[in-house]
Amino acid sequence: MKNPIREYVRLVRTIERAKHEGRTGELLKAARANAEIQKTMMRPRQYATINGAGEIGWGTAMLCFAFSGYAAVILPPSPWRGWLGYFFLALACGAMPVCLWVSGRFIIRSRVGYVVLPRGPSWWVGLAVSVLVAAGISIALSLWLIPEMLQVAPLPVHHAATVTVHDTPSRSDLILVGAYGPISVILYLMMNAVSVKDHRWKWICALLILAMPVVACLQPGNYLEMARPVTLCQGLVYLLSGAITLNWFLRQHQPPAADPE
Amino acid sequence: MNEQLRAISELDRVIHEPGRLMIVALLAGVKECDFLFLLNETRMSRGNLSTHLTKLETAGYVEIEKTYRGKVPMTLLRLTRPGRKALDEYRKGLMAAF
Repeated sequence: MKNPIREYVRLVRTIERAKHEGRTGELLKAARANAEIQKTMMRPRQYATINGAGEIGWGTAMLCFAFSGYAAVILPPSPWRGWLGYFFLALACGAMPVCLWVSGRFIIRSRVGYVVLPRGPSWWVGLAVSVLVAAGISIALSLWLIPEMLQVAPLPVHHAATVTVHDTPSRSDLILVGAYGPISVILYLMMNAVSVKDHRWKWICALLILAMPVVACLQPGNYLEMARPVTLCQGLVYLLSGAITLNWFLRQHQPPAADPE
Repeated sequence: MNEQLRAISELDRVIHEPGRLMIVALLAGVKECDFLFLLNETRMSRGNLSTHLTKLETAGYVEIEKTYRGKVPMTLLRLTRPGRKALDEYRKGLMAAF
């Protein structure tokens, strides 16, 4: 099957070119009709993102990541402290797929019907490339940040906060502002690409998500200390945004009326 | 002009009807869906949608499978390979006709 997004973009460009060249005749009509068909083909895809389940899932995952970090520094040393951290990490990994499954099974299916989107070879290739790129960036960043990680790793929070006060931006500060902030915003906007047209307030959430790493960068300390509160706050913003979107979705899509006897 | 008329007359009549075109376009964007999904998306009445689906099934463009999810009856719908091809041909024909 042809990529509907590429097809749609091609048709929209055809229309724009025809408008620009002043050809408002039959070609334009046909292109418009074709674009409408393409738009209809793409419409089912919106249900993957408009009910807020992705945001709730990602918000839960971020909270679990933050709890995992806090567990390691707040709780007293004991054999189960490490396991609790791993438990939160496992929860974080499962949060997104579980939330999407639950929303599909109990929210979308009963309100807008059962739908399965096609996942051709290009979808799997895209997923594999994304995983490889993410893993590569993570490994490279970890190697780059090893000196700063070693500086604070064994210390509890109230000590760690006083360890490093930078006069010049550290590597982790640069990452927070230069990479983490923009990537977080891009991810948030990608999740809300369809719904942001109806929910303009999501731009405020995007700004908050961007502002958190910037504020954290201005605080004393380094990435390992700041990552916890930043992740926690961003997770709360995602959860709140997802909850409001879900509430809107439930009000907009009522279950169908029963058949008349 | 004759070429244009010929191209219009060659458009697939089964797909050309707006209701059926919408159904086929929606099914082309999904792997499979149920009757309720199409009902919500097309905003047609149950009877109307059912009639269009029967015509598309007769033409071999849509596969209809009656099944159960738990104890709830469910009608699964899929666009067949000839249906997908017919939609592609129709879209090409549409551009050629005008």
